[in-house]
This record gives sequence, C-alpha cells and structure tokens, in this order.
Amino acid sequence: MLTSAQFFLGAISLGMALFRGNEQALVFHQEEIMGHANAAASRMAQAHAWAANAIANNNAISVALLSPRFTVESDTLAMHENGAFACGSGNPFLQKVCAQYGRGIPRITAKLGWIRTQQTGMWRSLSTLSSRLDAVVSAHAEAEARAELAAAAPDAELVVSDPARQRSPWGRPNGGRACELALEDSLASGTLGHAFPLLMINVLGLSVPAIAGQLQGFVCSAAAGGVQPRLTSLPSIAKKARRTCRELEARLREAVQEASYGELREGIEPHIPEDAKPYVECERGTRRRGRSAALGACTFQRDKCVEDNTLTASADLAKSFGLLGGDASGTPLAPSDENWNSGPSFRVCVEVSRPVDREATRLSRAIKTLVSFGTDTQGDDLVVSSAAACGRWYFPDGEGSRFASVEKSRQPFVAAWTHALAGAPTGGGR
Amino acid sequence: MTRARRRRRSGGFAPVTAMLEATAVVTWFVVLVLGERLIHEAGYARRAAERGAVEPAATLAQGPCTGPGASGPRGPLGAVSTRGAPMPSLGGPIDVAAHLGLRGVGAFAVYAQRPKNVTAEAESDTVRGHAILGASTHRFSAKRTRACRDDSLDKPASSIATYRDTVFGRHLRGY
Repeated sequence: MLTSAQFFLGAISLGMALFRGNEQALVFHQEEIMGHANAAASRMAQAHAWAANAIANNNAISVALLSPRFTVESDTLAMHENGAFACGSGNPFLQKVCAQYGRGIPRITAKLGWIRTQQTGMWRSLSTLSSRLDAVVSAHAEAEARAELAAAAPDAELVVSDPARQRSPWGRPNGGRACELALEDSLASGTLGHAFPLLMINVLGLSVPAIAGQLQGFVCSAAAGGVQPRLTSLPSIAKKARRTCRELEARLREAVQEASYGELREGIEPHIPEDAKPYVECERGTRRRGRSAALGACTFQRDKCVEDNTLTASADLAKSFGLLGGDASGTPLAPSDENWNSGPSFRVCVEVSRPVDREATRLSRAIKTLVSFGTDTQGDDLVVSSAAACGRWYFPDGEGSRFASVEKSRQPFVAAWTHALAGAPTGGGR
Repeated sequence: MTRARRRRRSGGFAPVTAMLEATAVVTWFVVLVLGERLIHEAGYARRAAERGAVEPAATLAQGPCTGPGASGPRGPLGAVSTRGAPMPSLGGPIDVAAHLGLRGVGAFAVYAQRPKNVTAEAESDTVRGHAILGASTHRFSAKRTRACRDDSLDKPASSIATYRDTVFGRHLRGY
C-alpha cells in the first residue's frame, strides 16, 4: 500500500494546488475592488472637471458683462464731457448739440444703470455659485458612486478623501485679471463709441479708448495695482486741476506779499494757506529779507499741484458719476493653488474595501499553518482587502493639446477642463 | 534470481498490491495534472474576461464616449451610458444668464452637460470542471465602469467675445 512518504508528497502537492488556486482567487478579488475604486475615483474627478468648466464659464460670462460696461461707461463720460462743453458755449451749432444731449440723458442713464446692475449683480451671483459648486458636485458624485458600488458589491465600503469638501479649490478672487481681459476685449471689439451711435458729435474729439483705459482703476480697484487712477483724458479734469492750482498760487502770492509788508512793520510770519502748504518750498532764512523775497524765496510747485488736483478731481468725478471700486466678494474666481495642474487640491482619492471570501481566508490560514509546521496558526491578515485610487482634474495645456496655446492666467476663463485617473497615494490592500 | 523466479511463477504478472500501488500513484498524478489544468483554464478564462472589460473601459474613457469601439475576446464590449442622476441644476444665476440671451453660445451648454460613463462587460468562454475562482455556470464575467472625458465645448480663445457680442448687441448697442 501507500507509504507515508507517498502520503506526504500527495499532501504537499494537493496543498500547492489549493494554494495556487487560492492565490489566484485573492488576486482577482483585489483586482475587482481596484476596479470599483477606479470607477468611483474617475466619477468623482469627472464631477470636479464638470464643476471647473462651469466655473470657467461663469468667469467668461463675468468678463463678457464687464467688457460692455467699459464701453457704456466710457461713451457716457465722453457724452457728458461733450455735452457740458456744448451747453457752456454760445455757438448756435453747439447749442443744438446741447439740446440733443439733454434729450439723450434719460436713455444714457437707463443704459448705464442697466449694465451696472447686471454686471455687479451677475458677478456676485456667479461668484457665490462658483465658490460652492465643488462641494455640491463632490457630494453628488459620492452618492452616485456609493449607489453603484452597493449594487455591484453590497458588502464593500467606500471612503472618499476630497479636500474640496472643506475648502473650495477655486478660492482666489481673480477680479484684476478679469478686468484686464474685459478691457482688452472692449478695446479690441470695436464696441467703444457705439453704445450711443450718431446721437451727437464728439465735438471735443475725445479718445474713448483712452477714457476706457483710465476707467479701469475705478471700475475694478483690484486691477489698478495700488495706483490711484486719473481721468486725464477728460479736458474738464485737467481744466479744473489747473484752475484750482492757479487760484492757490494767487492766494499764496498774496499771502507772502502781505507777510513781507507785515514783517517789515511787526516781524510776523507770512500766513501760507493750508491747502497750498504741500506745494510751497521756501529757502530757510530768506523769507525775512523783505519784500524782494516775497515769492522769489518761496517756490510754488505747480506741476505737483496739478498732478494732485487731477487725482482729486478724478476721484470726485468718479464718485459723483457713481463709480465705485470693485467688490471683492463678487469677483470671478481662480484656483487657490497656483500650480493647479499638479496641486493636491485638484485631486480626489477613494478607498474601497471588501471582506475577502471566508473560505479563501481559512484556506490561506491552513496553508500557512502547514508550511510553518504548525507554529503559525494566524495566517495572513486577509480578512479585508482594500484598494485606493485617485482622480485629478486639470487644464489640458500639454504639448499637442488643442488648448496648449492658452496662457496660464487665461485658463480659469476657458471651459476646457478635463480629468484623469492618477496614482493612488498609498499602496492598495491591507 | 528471486525476482525472476517470482515472475516466472506468476506467469509474468506483478503482484496485485504492486499493481494497485502503481495505479494509485498514476491516478494521483493524473488528478494533479487535471487539477492544474483546471486551475490554469479557469485562471486564463477569468483573466480574459477581466482584460476584456478593463481595456475597453480604459480606452473608451479616454474619449468622449461616443459609442462602443473596442473589442475583447467576445466582440464589442463597451457600452456608453449616462446612467444616474444628472449634475445638480445651477438655478438662479444661470437662468438669469440664459434670459440674457447667452444660452446660444457653445460653452453655455457646459451647465446642462450630463456626465457620461462607459461600462464594459466581458464574459469568458465556457470552462470545464467545477465552478472555481468565482465562476458561475462555468463562465466568468467581468464588468468595469469608468467616467468618460467629454470634448470641450469652449475654444482656446474662450467664449468671452461671443458672450460679449450677445450682451452688447441685445441691449446696449445704439438706441
């Protein structure tokens, strides 16, 4: 009959066959949950790419609303400037222009009010929408992925790690860039000067594009970069500044002359007007020498005065015209992470775990006990197997892409975002 | 000499015990070989089914999922689906934007785009023997789902100018 050696060999070969089959079953089990993880990760990344495209489109609409606003604002300012000039003239032709301007004022006001309300209101609404979109679609996609997993593998569990839930990846106000793009578009579009065509003649020959460029700093303060804007293209501003400085200089001259006479008699200091002080420079000691030193010893810096008063007059006009600085709470948004195509905030990870078949676990444990000659009875920790997968969403600006030419600062305004599976952060399985 | 004598005495036949032993050993090896073959066939069939599902799913998911195009061991396998609920409606601001006449611009359709997925299913040929490695009715089936990548609705120059034309032309140009 069979010898014990033959029995032993038989047991070993049977064990090896079982081990081989068991290992294959475990590999397929792992592959299956990896498939579930990939499906969930790609679904979630797809949802984020969809949100990114919606946000980019919100941004494009925001720019497209600001561009006509530049046109209407510039045209309106140019009309007011021409109208004021015409109405102040006694020329019969200009009086006709003045009458035309007067009749057009309600229309101008209505049009300006419409575009301002539309632009500010839409900016605020679209910005609010953009800032919340990722969290909403993430929850939606997770629910979808869970439902799908429950149908395919009821005993599997799914854990999602999505930074977009805590903080929107689109968290950086990008009003400055939006403003630049809007102005670029307005200048290139040929719409400037056409918000009110043929209404009246540009009697002053104003450059409407130049006005639009100078308005940028008033319409959106973020685009001004800390530089206070001036409306030097408007003759009334320069005229007002020059007139103010001439008056200041005259008052100063008068004060110095009076002080010199007074000094001769009583030795008192000349009284320099308070608002002229920033523009007066006197040589120390020379002011006491008498009348000859009246203004010769003190110099009035007219250029600086005109410059400052241009600034003040521009700000006053902008205020009376209803131009306020850009509202940071309602601007187009850009990704918080400058390096968005490889940043961790544009990545979502999913881990799927599923219990291993009980028979396979038992068999694995038995085999390990056998090959360890009974010393190890625990077997491998294969009760639950898990797999992780990540998905990312990005702007396809790689070489060969249709969108490779889109410069980085424009990418948040182009709805071409896409998604892909990315490597898992840690090894799958435990 | 003794063995030759024994063989002569038994008329050329080996003893029954030796025959039984030899038969048992040979049978054992036959069982082992058949077992190996069974495992191999089952593993191969399941691998074919898995590959048949994974590869088309991955290939189709690279594109906009316009239709089945890949094939596995059993013919066309990829099936495009837009299953599940569509993306949440964006409501208010988008309705307002639509009423401003912006709906006609290509990229506007992004808001209404339904996510597409590809589900690839593959089934192996019939395998012999018992159902092992998760087979049911002597066949293996595998299924993979992946999200597809839609073609961009925007253009590299972006839709800003098109939107602006609509906004300006509709309410602001001239009188």
